[in-house]
Amino acid sequence: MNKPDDTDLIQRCQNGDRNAFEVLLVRYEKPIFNAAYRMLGNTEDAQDITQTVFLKIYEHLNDYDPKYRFFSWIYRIAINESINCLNKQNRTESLAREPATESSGPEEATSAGQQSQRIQSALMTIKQEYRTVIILKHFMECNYLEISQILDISEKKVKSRLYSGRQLLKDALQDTRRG
Amino acid sequence: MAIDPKFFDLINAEIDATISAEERATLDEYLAESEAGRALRNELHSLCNDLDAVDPVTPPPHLKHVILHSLDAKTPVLPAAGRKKSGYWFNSWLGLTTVRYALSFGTGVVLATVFISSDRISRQAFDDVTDLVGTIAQHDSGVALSGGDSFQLAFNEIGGRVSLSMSGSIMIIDFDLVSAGPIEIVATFPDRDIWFNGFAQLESNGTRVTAEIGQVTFYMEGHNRYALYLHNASRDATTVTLRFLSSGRLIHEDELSFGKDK
Repeated sequence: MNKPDDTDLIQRCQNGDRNAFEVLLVRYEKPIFNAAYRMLGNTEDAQDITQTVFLKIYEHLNDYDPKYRFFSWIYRIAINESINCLNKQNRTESLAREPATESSGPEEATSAGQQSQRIQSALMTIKQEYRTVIILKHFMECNYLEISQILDISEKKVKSRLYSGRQLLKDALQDTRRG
Repeated sequence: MAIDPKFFDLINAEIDATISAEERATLDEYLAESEAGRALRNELHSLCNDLDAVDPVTPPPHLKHVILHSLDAKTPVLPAAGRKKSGYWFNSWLGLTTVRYALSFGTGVVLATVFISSDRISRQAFDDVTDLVGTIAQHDSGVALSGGDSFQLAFNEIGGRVSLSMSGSIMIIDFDLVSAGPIEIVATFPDRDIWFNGFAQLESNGTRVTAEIGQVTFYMEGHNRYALYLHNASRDATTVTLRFLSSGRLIHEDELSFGKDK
């Protein structure tokens, strides 16, 4: 059986079908949680942001503009909430909090998990606007156009931030290797 | 050696597979002559491969349930499914710090009354003490607490946090939990000087409680915030064991301990 697409589910939500919202929640919980985690660097804040995002979606489903993809809308909310969280906590972006435990097995904990943690630590050292495009491109697998819609900036600016962000991230990772 | 920004952009376009045939020819020509360009290309490709290989983080299993239950307190999409206005008013009112404090104080008085009689209650086996359940404010709004121990739960069946603190001779175990289905929680305290003194509930209702000597049992479902009050006359160090069961199956067992209140 085909999975219902987002538009169908949103319509059903707007007609009061709570089960449809649960399907959207199951579909997008992990991407939203990941986006927030990569933006903020810790799982506690990522959980709060994920909850906030879905509550906002639930409250404002009628405001959703179907000319945009649904995921663009909710990623935008997730990114904005994450930025708000960073601003509220007045966090120093150069300081990474302890990364989450991501692995389920010992191999992950020793190799891929460590690599993931190094990348997360380096991500937290670069400016939020560069981090955001890198997260959307490499972790959320968005293309230039989708990123431009999510962030409401031109595609040219997306490319500029992405390319610069990669360079900064590469340098940060090299610093951590040296350090 | 500095890389011409034009070639830097072309390398990135190549990584993103947005490079045109003409641009590729230009880039290839440049790379054939530039060792620094080739090094940068390799580094950026390696970085992007590493980024793309990072596994997604898995959210805790209880998060979905927390979100679904928190929807109950939000305005639903349809007005027809709306909540009663009095609920909103009550929640807003309860959100005020001063009101919380007043409620905490008032609750203290009420609980003091309960404590007097609960000694008898605690010595009767399998009493259903659900009638003692009241609505209180959070006890972090003015009541002096000491000690402290806590643990987190993150299972498919139940998630959240349980913490223990002391106020005088009263041990307060705070449960902030959300469950996907019915859960039985058994708190045991083998020390004979400790007895059940009360139970209070916030942000939810419907939890059922039974008490007997050395043991209190809750039955909960959904998002529940409540506190268990135990009287520890000696104030000696002790441990409370908590077992979480779903359909009779043990999901988790943990302990909360504290030292002597100073």
